[in-house]
Amino acid sequence: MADHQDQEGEVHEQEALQAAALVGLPIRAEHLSGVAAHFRILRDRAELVMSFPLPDDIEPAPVFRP
Amino acid sequence: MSAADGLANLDAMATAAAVRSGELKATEVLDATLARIAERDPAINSFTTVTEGRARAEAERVDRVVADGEDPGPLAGVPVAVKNLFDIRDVVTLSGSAIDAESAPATADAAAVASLTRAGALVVGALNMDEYAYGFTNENSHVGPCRNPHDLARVAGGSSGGSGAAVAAGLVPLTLGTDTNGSVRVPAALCGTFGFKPTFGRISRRGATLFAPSLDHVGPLARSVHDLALGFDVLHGFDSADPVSLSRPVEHTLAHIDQGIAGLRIAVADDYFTRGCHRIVLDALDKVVSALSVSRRVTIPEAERARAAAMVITATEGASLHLSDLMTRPDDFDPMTRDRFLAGALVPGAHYLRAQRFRAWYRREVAALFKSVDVILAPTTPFAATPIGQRSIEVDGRDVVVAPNMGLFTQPLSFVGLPVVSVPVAGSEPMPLGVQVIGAPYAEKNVLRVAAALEAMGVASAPVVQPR
Repeated sequence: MADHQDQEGEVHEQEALQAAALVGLPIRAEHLSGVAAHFRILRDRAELVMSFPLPDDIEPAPVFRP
Repeated sequence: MSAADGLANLDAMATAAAVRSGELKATEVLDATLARIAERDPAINSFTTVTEGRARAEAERVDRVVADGEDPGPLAGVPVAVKNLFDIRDVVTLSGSAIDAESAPATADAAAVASLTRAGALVVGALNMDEYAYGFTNENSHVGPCRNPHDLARVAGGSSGGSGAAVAAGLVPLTLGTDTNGSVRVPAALCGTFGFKPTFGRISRRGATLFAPSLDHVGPLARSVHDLALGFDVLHGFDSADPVSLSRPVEHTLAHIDQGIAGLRIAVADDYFTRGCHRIVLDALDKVVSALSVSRRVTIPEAERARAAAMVITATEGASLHLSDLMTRPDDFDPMTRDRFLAGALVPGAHYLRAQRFRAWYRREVAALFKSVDVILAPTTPFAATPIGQRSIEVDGRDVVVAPNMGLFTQPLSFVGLPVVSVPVAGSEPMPLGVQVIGAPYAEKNVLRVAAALEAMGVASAPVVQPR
């Protein structure tokens, strides 16, 4: 169980590091486990949003007015 | 009881009436206020700055205007304080951070602060908050936690914790907070005060540090509904300098909120809004529901998904505002917020935009709901204030993380900018609890009417917490 959690944690940390590299954001080693945990939570939340079928004609809520 | 203690029990309306009539001088009100802050706040830690010089100049001006027989404004001589993300001229705007403490003092007042001053208020200081407003407990590592006046070992709630605690302790009758996901309503509920988040865009955010710009609202906290209405009346109106400011005409509320609830269709939110909370929270809601004789129930659809989308948007927008500091000096952030800000910078664009599109869909569904009801009731928080430092709490037999769950019932509502008053339910023991009175967009009068009716019935009340 503990091994499984460790492995899962390492996967999340690698995912966070890959995403950070794309943004050019350095993640310090001492912050990595916390960042990865929160990144995982945000991805879980996003999955709930992404799984909802939206009609094509729905535009994003904020509207730009020139 | 000393003169200072007597003044502490006056709300903003009563204070202004006494100053306007000449019964009290604004300078006397200020002296008593400063004495209370000096006596009680070291234990509470709600103030991060006391602006005595400014407040004294404002008090002397109000007294001169009254002596000259002119109108000193509807908040004449009322001491107010604001969350420390609002610019106060000549004061460094901390926004709960150490990083912004390095900034130069503000060169002008935030729009909301200027509105209060124009109305005759005395700005006595800036208040504790979670760093950059990213939190629900106000456990600020830089300046220390804001403590709940009802139990100093417990959190005041956040992120506008100082705004709730200062009002609850009777240090000032009226404060300003901001609410992105619940940051006015949560501390109001946990500290036992009234808190009001008007419709998105009603009150200008100019000169306030933003957190998640597509979600940020400004709102007042007070010990009476009349003070909320008076505060709203003074604060709202179009401001071209705030891109989300509503161009609707000013709609004063104070003269309309004592007409009772006749004609209002009131329902209680079921499903999502009855789960994941302590029994005492539902008991507090039942008190309000019974008092208003509400039998109708409504389901706000997809509330859990709305909260999830609000979390994604908040994290992404919040990280975007602080990205350069996150890249160069992450250790200067509060450890309570740092990892969440860093994670927010990693959210894919597809997730953020989908959340904003879902928001438009959800707005349409919620608007449809308000065709058949005027006001919806729901709990404010899923549990009462927790001990400072406690990270998890048992709900329905399982441990949940305290801080994010404080926003369980507030986030799906601010997500679409609805006006909401959190009312403190009288007799909640051992710690205060709040109920949200929720209206359709722009229907501030309706929610204030219901809140005023509850206050008149004694079901909602916010007495000053006396020192123990």
